[in-house]
Amino acid sequence: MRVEVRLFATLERYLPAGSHAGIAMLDVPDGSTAADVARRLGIPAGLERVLLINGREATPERSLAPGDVLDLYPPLAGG
Amino acid sequence: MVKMTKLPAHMANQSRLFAAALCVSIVIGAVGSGAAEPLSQPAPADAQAAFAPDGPGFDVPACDLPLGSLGERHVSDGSSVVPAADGGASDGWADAYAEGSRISYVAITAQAYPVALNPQVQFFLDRFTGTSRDVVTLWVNRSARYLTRAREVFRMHGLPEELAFTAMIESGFKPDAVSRVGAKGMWQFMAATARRYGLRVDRWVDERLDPERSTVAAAAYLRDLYNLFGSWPLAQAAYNAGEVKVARAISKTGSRDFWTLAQSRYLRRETKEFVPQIHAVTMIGREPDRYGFEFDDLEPASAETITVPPSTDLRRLAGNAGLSVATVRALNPTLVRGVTPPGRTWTLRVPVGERERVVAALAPRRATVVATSGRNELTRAMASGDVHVVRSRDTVSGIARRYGVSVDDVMRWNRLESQDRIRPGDRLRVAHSTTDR
Repeated sequence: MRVEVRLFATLERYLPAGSHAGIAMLDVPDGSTAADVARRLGIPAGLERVLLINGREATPERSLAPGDVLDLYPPLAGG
Repeated sequence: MVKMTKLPAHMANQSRLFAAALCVSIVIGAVGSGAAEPLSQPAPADAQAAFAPDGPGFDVPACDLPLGSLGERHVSDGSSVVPAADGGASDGWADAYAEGSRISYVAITAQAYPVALNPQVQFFLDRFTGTSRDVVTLWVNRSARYLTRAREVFRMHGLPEELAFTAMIESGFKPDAVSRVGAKGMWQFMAATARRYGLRVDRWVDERLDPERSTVAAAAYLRDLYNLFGSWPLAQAAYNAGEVKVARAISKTGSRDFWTLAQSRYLRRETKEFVPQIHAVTMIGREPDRYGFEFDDLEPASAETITVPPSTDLRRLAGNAGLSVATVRALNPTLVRGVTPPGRTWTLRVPVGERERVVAALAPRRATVVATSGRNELTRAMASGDVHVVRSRDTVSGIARRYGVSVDDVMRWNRLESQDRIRPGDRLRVAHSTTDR
């Protein structure tokens, strides 16, 4: 299935080559979770801080459906 | 007024630090010492008009005004997410962060703080120089002790120093501002966010009330938010609303431009107004003469420091030293109970030139007074049950009742005054002794 992944800030470096504006269309196996997609992109586990699926907060364990839009933001550094 | 940002459930397990309410907010009305200084004015009907401008005027993304020494680079607050690195060098922050390291430095190269000249900003500029001039004058006057230092803090963090004006809208530079949802200090931190940025917030100490430390924390927080969202307007919106809220608005609208998000229904009005208010006050700060304001630069209240024992009561100390309690408390705003924390010594700020008096006043402490009747005497008294070791929740009246003596007696035998507190571990004489008259 094909999903849209939007990576923000420092996570942008994990986008596949040729991606534009922080957005990539990815073909992933059916039933993939948000965490699966992050792993597939090489994002270290736990590095994502804010995770949205179709504009709603979600957990990494959430399975994606075809056409879903996944937004990932890195965590804040803290003081 | 402040919307707490609810964190994704998975984050709660990941780190206590991240299980934080991420919201620091503008405080409306609730902060001022009087009704005369509302921080956000109720919008009249035309406010909505100002926020729904038609056509091209609204699409002007950002317009750099003269920036003086800050203006070497043009930075638009458009859609770029990663701060531009000069000369295309690799992003050191990204590299460091990709390793998962917690870092305390960020090389942000965007020194400029672009102010948008659009209808929303103009709306607040008109208001701040018009109907709300008195309120803004109050903010400006209050900023005199803090603004210069705050600008320095931002500069030292490699950030545009004009971010200091954020505090103008957060609290009107009121260092002890408290919102009704618990955001505190000049920078209106919620407790959890404050702790994440290194501020101590507990029952004894609240560093959100320390102008300098809270400014340092605010700089770190804004730096992180900039790195997340790639523009100052979005970073400031997230400072107000929480980053999840802003992330959601970006996702829903598909835009990474604050002014576009501000037209959507995905940000609350408070957040939509927060950024243009900051821009308006920044414009005033850049050209005060033009807008008829005068910024003074006062030295921060100077102080000497002295190490005091644990659980030092400021009221008692000030009384013994012949100083005003208000003065001592004002110099130590973080001591929320007026007592230094138990368990360890504390560096107390005292008025310049008063150090010796405070040192002298520290000498006769109550514990010492009890002990002066002689160790043997005290030991004997304890053995005979004439001394009560205070436990938590004890009260003088409860202790007096328990030993069948009067409160007055207990007070007199222990040389307590009515405002004194008893604390766990204190030893109180609870029976008449031959050495007491």
